[in-house]
Amino acid sequence: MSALAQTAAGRQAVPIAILAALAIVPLLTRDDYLLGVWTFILLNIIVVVGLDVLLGYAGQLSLGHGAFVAIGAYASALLTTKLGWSGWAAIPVGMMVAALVAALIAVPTLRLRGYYLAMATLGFPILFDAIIRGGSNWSGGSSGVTAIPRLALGGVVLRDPTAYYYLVLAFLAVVLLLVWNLMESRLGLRLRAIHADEAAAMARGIHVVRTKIGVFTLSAAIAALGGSLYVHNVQFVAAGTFGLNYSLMLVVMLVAGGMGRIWGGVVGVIVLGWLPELLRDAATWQPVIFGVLLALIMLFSPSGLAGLVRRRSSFGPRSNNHVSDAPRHRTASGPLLRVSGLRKRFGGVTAVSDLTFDVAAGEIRSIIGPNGAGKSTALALVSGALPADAGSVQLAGEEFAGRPAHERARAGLGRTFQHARLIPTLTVFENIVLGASMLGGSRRDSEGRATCVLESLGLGAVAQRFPDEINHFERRLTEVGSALAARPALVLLDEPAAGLSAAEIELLANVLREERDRGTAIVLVDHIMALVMPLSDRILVLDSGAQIADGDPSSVTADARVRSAYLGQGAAHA
Amino acid sequence: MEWLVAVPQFLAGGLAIGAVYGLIGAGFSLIYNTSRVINFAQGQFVVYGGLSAVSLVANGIHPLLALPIAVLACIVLGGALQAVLATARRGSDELTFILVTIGIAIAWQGLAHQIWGSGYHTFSLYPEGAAFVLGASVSYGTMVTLGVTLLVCLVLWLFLYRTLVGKAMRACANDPRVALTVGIRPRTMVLGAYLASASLGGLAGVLVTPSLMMSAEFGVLLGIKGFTAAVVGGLANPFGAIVGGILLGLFEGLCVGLISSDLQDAYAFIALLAVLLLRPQGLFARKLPAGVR
Repeated sequence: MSALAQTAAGRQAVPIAILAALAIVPLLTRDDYLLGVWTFILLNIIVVVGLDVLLGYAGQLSLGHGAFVAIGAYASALLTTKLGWSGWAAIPVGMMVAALVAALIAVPTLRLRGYYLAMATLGFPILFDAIIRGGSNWSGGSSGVTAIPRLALGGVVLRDPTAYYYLVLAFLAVVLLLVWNLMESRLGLRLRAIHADEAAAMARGIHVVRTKIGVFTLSAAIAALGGSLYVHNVQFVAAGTFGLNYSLMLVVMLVAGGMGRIWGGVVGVIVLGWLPELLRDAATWQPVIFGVLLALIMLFSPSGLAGLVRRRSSFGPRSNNHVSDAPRHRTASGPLLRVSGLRKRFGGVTAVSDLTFDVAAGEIRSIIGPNGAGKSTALALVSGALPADAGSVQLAGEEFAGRPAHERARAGLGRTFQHARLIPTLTVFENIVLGASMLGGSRRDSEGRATCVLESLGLGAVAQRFPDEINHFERRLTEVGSALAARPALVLLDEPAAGLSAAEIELLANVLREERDRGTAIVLVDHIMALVMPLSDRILVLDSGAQIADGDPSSVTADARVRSAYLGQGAAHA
Repeated sequence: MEWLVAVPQFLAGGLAIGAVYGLIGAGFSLIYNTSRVINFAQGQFVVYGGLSAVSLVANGIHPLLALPIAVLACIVLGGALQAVLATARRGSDELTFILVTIGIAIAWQGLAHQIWGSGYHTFSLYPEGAAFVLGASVSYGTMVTLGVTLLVCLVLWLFLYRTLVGKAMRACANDPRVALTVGIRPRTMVLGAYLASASLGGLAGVLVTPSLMMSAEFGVLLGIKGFTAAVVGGLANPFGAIVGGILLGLFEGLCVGLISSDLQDAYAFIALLAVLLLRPQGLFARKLPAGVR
């Protein structure tokens, strides 16, 4: 128990060190102006930490985060001055409004590619600014809201710059520890997966759109908190206070410090937070400098300062005797998977026509066929990565046609891709934990399940390496492991043996045999007959999108149409 | 019913700016097609085109001569932008290109501010006066802007569908790797797209400045509106973008007339969200092209 407490405290070492370092700042300066600058730096750290969750982790770009800061600022300013609210009541309202507005922007844009959110968030501040300027009778327009009350704590108004600094630091502590722990949890793994490869993330059962929307609203709420704390200190806000240049500065600070590392953003704000001060005499050049800086960093050092330090995973193998490795059985009569009448056309080409087959629990069902026969398309249709034009996909009697890939994955339909699609920013072990996290349960459960898989695949030695640091076979095994970690009822494997040596194929075959013996159904697409023939219980043969044979290995190899498809017309008669 | 009578006039007010949105949007499409990059600096070409023409005319150069010079200046900027983007690492993701182009856009906007200040500028290019068309007075400036936009459409169509280079560009848009195997250099085609986009943007700037004035601060806003035009038209289709731009201009004119001019710059944003929500593939495409989800 004490060991657990130790690791739990150990995991917080970085945020605690940051907070401790920031806590001594007021001891080093008695200058109120300097302390004011430091307070502004703390506020920007709050906002940038929130932005990092969105941009660094989930890979979604907001170019108008200043507008969410402004929403918090105006909520505090207007609720306190016009309605006489306490600042403490205004802060959560500002955060909720920001989250709500973020959700309104997110729903149309985050279903789509990344640049739609970037463009919409670039446009939103213009709308916000127009509303503030247009409503000058209640918003103060460009002359602003003045005399915003300061926050009071226990009847004492926080006038003293040092006291306010520590108040902001307390808020930062809450945000930093919250965000740090969220990002070190399995959610952090999911966000990195979404950032790297949305299709692979869906195959691991992640509801990509919902997760992105959630992260965006969280990030906007944190930004609004920063804005509220700003106006209760400065006591003034006007249209344009948090404009495009401010939003861009947030992005530049984050990118310079390093995205996706939390402490990177903190360092970026501390280093670059002084730039506006240094540039006071050349303030009009600020956009030019920040713009050029942003372009240069992205072109030559996109991982920023934090990129100099290798990320250490907080996930590690641990023994756990309580985890089952049996597939999640779905109770139903009849076959586990029943596919019927599945059809897909790309323009004038019929990739798959009228595909009908079934798979029983504990069966290895192979799909073979010449190049272009439609095998990978068939897998994509079954897994939901591609929408089918027609047909039915039933898993244990439940219809999944028309339902998205992540729902099918959650129902027990695992898969791997033709070209191993690991998440490059996650370690081998984290990739497997990502699969296991689909099962729910605690972090320990996921780590325990991932450890079982890791050991059964013999990947223990490379657990803490990243995918670009291991060999091709290990990458293949990791991807298979990530799929199996979710204890799928059925797993679809797309050419798992491609590029493997004969010895490696034998090892892979053993893994698959063991998995089948546990009751997992396996659909195997491959060209390597040394894998397919000895392993398969039944083989389905596709040619030009149509099924031409279906049966046990010996009957399929004897089939004249199969021989003709593979070897050419003459061979069938030979 | 009084407002109904004014509708043609509100629409006429949005025509010229709509054509400009369309030209910017067509620039987005051309670059997107050849390189799958959304160029966030697209609006800056309009500013530099318009304001260069202002400076040239102020220095005694005839407006009709200032036009090609200003467009040429934008072409140089377009080439420079492409050269900078070409230094990106192989396999850089979408996020990198967005951040690089937005960085350059902001830097250019700041630079324009240094050169031309934050004020509004204009020069005279069109004959004074207006003609009555369908109950609305349409200025000669608007007519010329529309006429030139139609001409651009024609030239662009002839280029893309009737010249070898244009066909190569379309082939490259379709599949750069296959294009490579028949001897087309995707890099050259991408450069061509940037030059063409920059010239469309510059031309739009020169056309719009005499009727509606130009400021160094307009670039980002014009970029967003041009992007909206491109999304309305289906993003991958430059002709759709021009139609989309004109529709957006009409929509804006109508909203400004019927609702309020305070929110003039916000209507495009609302239109963008509405289109993305209801018809993300654009008004004219039947289905989302592969890869655009």
